Amino acid sequence: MCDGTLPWKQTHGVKLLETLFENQKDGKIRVARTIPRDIAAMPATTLILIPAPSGNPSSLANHPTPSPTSTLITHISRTYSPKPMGLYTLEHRLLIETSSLLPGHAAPRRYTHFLTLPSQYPGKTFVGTSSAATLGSVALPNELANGSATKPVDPSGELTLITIPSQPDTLFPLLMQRMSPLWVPRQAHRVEGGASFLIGDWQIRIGELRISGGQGQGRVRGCLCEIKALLGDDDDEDGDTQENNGLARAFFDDLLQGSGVDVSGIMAVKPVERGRDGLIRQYMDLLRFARS
Amino acid sequence: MPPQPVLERHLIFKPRPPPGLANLPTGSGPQGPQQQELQKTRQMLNTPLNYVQVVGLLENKELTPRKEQPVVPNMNGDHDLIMTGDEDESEQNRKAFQWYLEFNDIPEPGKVSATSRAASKTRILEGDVIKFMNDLGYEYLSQYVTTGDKFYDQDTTLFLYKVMQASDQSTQNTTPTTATINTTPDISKLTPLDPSEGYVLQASIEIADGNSPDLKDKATQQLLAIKDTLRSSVDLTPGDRLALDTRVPVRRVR
Repeated sequence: MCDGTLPWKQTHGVKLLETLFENQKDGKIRVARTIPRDIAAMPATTLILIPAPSGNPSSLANHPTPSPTSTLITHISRTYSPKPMGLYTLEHRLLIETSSLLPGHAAPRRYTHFLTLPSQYPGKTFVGTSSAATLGSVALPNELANGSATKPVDPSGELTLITIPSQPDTLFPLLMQRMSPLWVPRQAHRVEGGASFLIGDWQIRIGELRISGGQGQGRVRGCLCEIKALLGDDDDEDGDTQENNGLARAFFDDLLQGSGVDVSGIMAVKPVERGRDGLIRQYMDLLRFARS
Repeated sequence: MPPQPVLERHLIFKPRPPPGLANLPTGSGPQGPQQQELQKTRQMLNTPLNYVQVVGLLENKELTPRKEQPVVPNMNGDHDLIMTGDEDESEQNRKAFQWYLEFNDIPEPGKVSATSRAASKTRILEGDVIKFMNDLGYEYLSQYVTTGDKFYDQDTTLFLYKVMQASDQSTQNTTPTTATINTTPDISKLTPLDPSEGYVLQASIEIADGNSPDLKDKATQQLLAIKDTLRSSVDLTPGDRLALDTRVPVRRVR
């Protein structure tokens, strides 16, 4: 059974594999299609942010609405009885070029990111700094809706990445205290106590993204999801990431169905580069825009 | 603990003036929140920046001659040791050079019996550190090599070393690449900075919290004890503060 959310593209005579999910709630069987590993390069990962319902923070405190994260986790656990895959945590700190704070600053803003994904890459912090200001690959909500969201990004020219140990945390304080003419801290985000599941050939990580530093500290920004296809390996070169992203989106739409989660304003970052560094760039891209 | 032969490659980076410095709006309009923000930014942009170093450390294992493969004094310059992104941290596959981003502030002022300065050291696990420095806002200036031995006595590190430079100035000032900086330097082709080939003996202690007077006092006492022990052979004195100044003079813009 296909509900029509799947963009079906019969390219190169590729036969798609189908994974069946039995929705235990409504008894319907849902289908996720994946491309066989020898044809398409996988895994590619798609990141999705479902923004928290906006509004006056004080009024939200008085009438708390359930966060999309807990709603979604409950929904997935009930509907698909997925295999738990452990915790999902994240820390992201962003600095911006000090000169960009001046009025009339024309050049695109440059960033330095500090990203830690303890559940995936323990003990490491990824530091990415803009090599030349380029536009991100975050798709606008309306582009996503009609599936036309493909803004190609030059993955090589965007961020220069280095890896440093997470502890001791020496480089971030150095930038803050000793490089203030160049960089100024902007905001920090954190996911604590997120969850990871295995559903069919997909691994999904879900966590609540909170502002942990800067303006609006403590506020929930939204629900952060990482969707990874588990077939294939990183070494394949000739992948169709767009197709893959479409499948990930379709899979995600399926997961959301019936959850009651408000998906307006949803943001997604497609894979731009394979492997670990590609994922790191995706995260940095998404979290740079997480502040509206 | 036996002395450890050490070779360090020091790459000096100079901060570029922040682009905003030249574009600071002049004149003072009405004092509003925007003006306050501007004042804050102006202040940040005018804070002095320091030279920083990217230091590659080559420790004992690579420098100690191996029995099976005796190292010829005139080591082949093609003996490349390339840094890889390999995550395998096993002994055999370890990168030859271990890279660090080092920051040293100007020593604290006042009459002191030992030099004390704020320092920060970050280990670089992977990545193109030269490109990273460039994007961070620092341009490559020059490089030198220190070679010698490190001795350890409790908390104290005694480093007996010579500073070596490429005899060819142009080589030294050319921006290096990840490949060239990971090549073991051929010491025989380097010239000592001090023509008399003298050594520097540096006794130092790293303390975790520079704001703790107790820790600082304790470290100073330990250093003075070392000075006393070595009195008969060498006279250890605090470094010249201005010679150790790492700040880059900035043109103040109001």
